[in-house]
Amino acid sequence: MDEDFLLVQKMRMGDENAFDRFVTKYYPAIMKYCQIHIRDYGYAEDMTQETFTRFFRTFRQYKHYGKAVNYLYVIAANACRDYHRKQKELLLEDLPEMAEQDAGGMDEQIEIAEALDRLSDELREPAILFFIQERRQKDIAAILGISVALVKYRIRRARELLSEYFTE
Amino acid sequence: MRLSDYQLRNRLGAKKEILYTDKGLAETIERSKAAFAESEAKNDTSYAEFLYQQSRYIRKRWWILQGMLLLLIWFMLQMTESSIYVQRYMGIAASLFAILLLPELWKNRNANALEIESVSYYSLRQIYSARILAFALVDFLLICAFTLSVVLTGTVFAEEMMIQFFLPYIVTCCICFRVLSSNRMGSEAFALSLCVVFCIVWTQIVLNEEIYGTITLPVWIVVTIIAAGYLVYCVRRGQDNCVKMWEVSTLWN
Repeated sequence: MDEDFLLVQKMRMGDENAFDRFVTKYYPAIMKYCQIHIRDYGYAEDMTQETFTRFFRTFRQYKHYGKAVNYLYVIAANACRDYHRKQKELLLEDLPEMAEQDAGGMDEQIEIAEALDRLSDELREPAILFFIQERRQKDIAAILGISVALVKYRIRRARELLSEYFTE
Repeated sequence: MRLSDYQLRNRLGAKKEILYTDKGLAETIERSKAAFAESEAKNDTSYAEFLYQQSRYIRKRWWILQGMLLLLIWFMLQMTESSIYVQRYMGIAASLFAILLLPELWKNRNANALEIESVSYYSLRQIYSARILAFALVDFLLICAFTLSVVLTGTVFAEEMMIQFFLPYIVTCCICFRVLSSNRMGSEAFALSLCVVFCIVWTQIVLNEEIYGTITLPVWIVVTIIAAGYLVYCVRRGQDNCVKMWEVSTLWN
């Protein structure tokens, strides 16, 4: 029995400590994922909060079959998609807020953003989950709702394109 | 040149420290709790809904088998033109009817599911009360249909039905629930053995005219009431002991 299962059951009982543990456990990973997608610290923080709020709003219907974090990634992806739909694509010029917080990492942020922008939409998502979020291919398949074979193919393709970009 | 996964992860900042503030985290925790509390307030389950939810966890095959068993007795009673021996053998069928409860009653205990259910949203007592009630309701409907069909058609008299069917059924249920709530002798095989022993003893009583004839109707009524009272006690005891049973079983695991 995995730790998440017991945590989920305890939260269903209204155990406040379980909420603290669950959110603390997954908050950094989801925050990082939202930062990659949104590239604005403030909005990424909002989207992370939105991800957890959506998760707990429908918590009663949630069935714990695999990993709770996979489900959180699905919600986060939808939240980020919704955000982009409203705001349209953020351009690289839209990074000043991040620069204010971490001016030293600005070049690196731009480089990562450019590298990811080179990938098509269908390659970008598996690439982010595999190379940045360090999820297993099986989990990525579950998050994206595609086969493991297709995930492998997309990661291989993304690996080639990213290698090309970084060795140019 | 193709970069390795490790190199790509480094270049893409996978190993980089994640930027977040404790304030943001604390706020998210609070909002998560609030979202959960809000959804719980909206979706407060009624008792009927809870009962329905729990009944979905019961395997329906036992109800089908119980129904088929009653149908078989009904046919036998009709075909043998209410033979007195068929009526008296109804006790065995009544015990079998109750024995069909055993796999479902022991399912959670055998699977050590108590551990899981004890951390669920509802208490163990609520869960088991609902499941027993769901089982009892369906059994009640099945038995009512059977009783009405045999009594109203005049195949069996009401008092015979009570003695030959309800009494052995209640006694078998008492055995099952008593063993289930026992911490030391709570095995399914033990309950089944006791039920078989009871069946043998019961058959000896009802087929022996000397003994059967000397027991008058008021005595049967009193015995049935006592058995029903004891059944209520056993079910309540089981409900009270479910947490204790879990604690005992975890010691063995």
